[in-house]
Amino acid sequence: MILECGDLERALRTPELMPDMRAHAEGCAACRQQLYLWDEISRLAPGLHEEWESPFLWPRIQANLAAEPTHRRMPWWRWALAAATLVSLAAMLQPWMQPWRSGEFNNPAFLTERALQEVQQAEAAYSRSIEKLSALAAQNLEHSSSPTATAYRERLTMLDSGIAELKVTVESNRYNTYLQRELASLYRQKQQTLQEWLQNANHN
Amino acid sequence: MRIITSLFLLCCCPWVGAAREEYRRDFQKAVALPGGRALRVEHSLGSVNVRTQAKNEVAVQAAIHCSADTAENARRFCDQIQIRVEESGSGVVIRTEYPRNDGGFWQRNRSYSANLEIQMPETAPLELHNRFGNVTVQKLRAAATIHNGNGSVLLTQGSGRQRVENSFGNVEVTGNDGDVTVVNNNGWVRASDIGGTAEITNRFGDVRATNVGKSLTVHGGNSKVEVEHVGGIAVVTTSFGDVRVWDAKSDVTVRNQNGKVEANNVAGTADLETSFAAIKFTGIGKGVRVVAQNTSVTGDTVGEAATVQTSFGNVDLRAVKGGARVTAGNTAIRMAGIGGEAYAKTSFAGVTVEDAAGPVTVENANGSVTVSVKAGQPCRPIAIQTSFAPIRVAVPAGLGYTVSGKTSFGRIHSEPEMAVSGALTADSVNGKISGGGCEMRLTDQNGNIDIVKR
Repeated sequence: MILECGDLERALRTPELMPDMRAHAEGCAACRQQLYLWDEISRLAPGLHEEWESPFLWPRIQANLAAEPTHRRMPWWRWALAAATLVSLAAMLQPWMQPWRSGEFNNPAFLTERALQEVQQAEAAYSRSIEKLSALAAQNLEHSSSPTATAYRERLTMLDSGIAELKVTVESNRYNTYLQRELASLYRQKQQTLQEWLQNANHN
Repeated sequence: MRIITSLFLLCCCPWVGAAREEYRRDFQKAVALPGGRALRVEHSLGSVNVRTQAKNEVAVQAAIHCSADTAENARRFCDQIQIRVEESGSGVVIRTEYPRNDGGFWQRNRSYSANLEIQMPETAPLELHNRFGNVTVQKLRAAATIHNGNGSVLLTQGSGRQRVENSFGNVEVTGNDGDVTVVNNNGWVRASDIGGTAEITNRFGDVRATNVGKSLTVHGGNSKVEVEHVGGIAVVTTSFGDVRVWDAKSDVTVRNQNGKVEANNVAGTADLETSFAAIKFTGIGKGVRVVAQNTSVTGDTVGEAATVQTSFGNVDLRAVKGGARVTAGNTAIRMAGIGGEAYAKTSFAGVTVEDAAGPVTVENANGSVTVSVKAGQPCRPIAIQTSFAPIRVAVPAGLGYTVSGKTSFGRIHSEPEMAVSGALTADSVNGKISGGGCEMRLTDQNGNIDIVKR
């Protein structure tokens, strides 16, 4: 099937269409960029999933529900205010609900607000994952005098320096796709470097 | 109060997910750049594409993109971004100036980039500085210096002396009739069809150099290096990465650590070093020198002499026209078709020398020694010493040797007829094969000595 950029959203919802979409993306920089971001988010999303125990949450909700007056009539002006809020909310959300707007799609230089949020969440997840890896790796990396350890330390130092510098730039240009992609790339390299070192250390 | 809070939250939530507006402003300007003057570009946060033309003019096109919460804010911000094109006595300077950002809330809410398309005289020197964007320079027939960071650099179809410094990005130079210097960090480097010399320095990234007309120098660190078709001397230094060199018209030197080395079809000498990884070579026009640690060495077809020094790795050396000298430890040595003198020294492993055309000297300990002499050659001296393992020497019929054999806790046996002289004991013998001739000195401890017909 021959797909075009406008079919991307449909292809993302329909796995059977993805091979054709990827084939199209090979010759289309804009789609390739969007697919790259999608893949990155899909790859990182599982790491964002967190669960925690909240034993007091449901009892509190129950207690609040019980305390709430059941048949209190709301004044008309509150209904009007709520309706107005919903209308304005819908108006504001409308563009947000269409992530593949033609303007954004044709010019992927900038992230949308939603994409930025996802990128920032992904970055936070990456940072946490890397911190854990760093803590694991530090146990033998910092104290080893082997040439291999020296090389890994050197690379990590260089990547840390690159990440720090890039983060400063990103801070004042947060929606810039290129910068965010560069930052993600450096994080990924750092993660790979740490993983390589840990595998190396395990083998030895 | 609860309702007000809810409304506040309702109003705030969509703002977080609010749409963003983008604005694009185009900029164009052309100025004269007389012959002999240079172009300097200072840019960041966007790509720079440089093309050349015959006329003495610099034409700049910039696409400035801005993103903000409203179209008006995006437009207003875009208007503050300046592309300065300044003429001076030394040439033309193109400078991109972004508004100062003090990190305020509204400033954090906007983003920007600018892409430059530049046409410049093909013979004007170029100095280009960029960050956070890719750089492309095509068909420049003058010297260029490019400093980039966090982006790739592509230089194509140029001539003149080119220098590229980059970090956190790849560098590719394809086709340059002149010298090329690349200094990179954390990205790969590819250089192909370079008419002059190429000097490439890279850390944490692979290097590939193809069709370099003159000499090539690669300083790598944690880098795999591949070199193909080099006209001049090639020197490669790296670590933690494999090195492969194919088809070098002159001498090749490789200094590696913790990485394999492979050299094929080298017209000159090959000087190869590494540790903890294998070395292979074939088709070396002149001599070979190998210095290695914990490394196996395999090589064949050498035009002159070969010298190999290693430990804890086998050595297999074949078809060497000159002499071969192998010094090893805890390592088996196999040499075949050595035209000149063959010398092998090792321990705790066997030594085999086949088809030896020249003198043979083997110093071993705790390892067997097997030597066969090439037929159809005049005799050459043979000296073998080992312990706790046998010695076996095969000689062609008719070659004369004056034999001196000695062992302990072993026996001495000669298949060719030997005229024995002096005292005859079980563990030592002096005699002549085929009337005597070249010296054959065989010394063993706790091992048998056999001289057999080939």
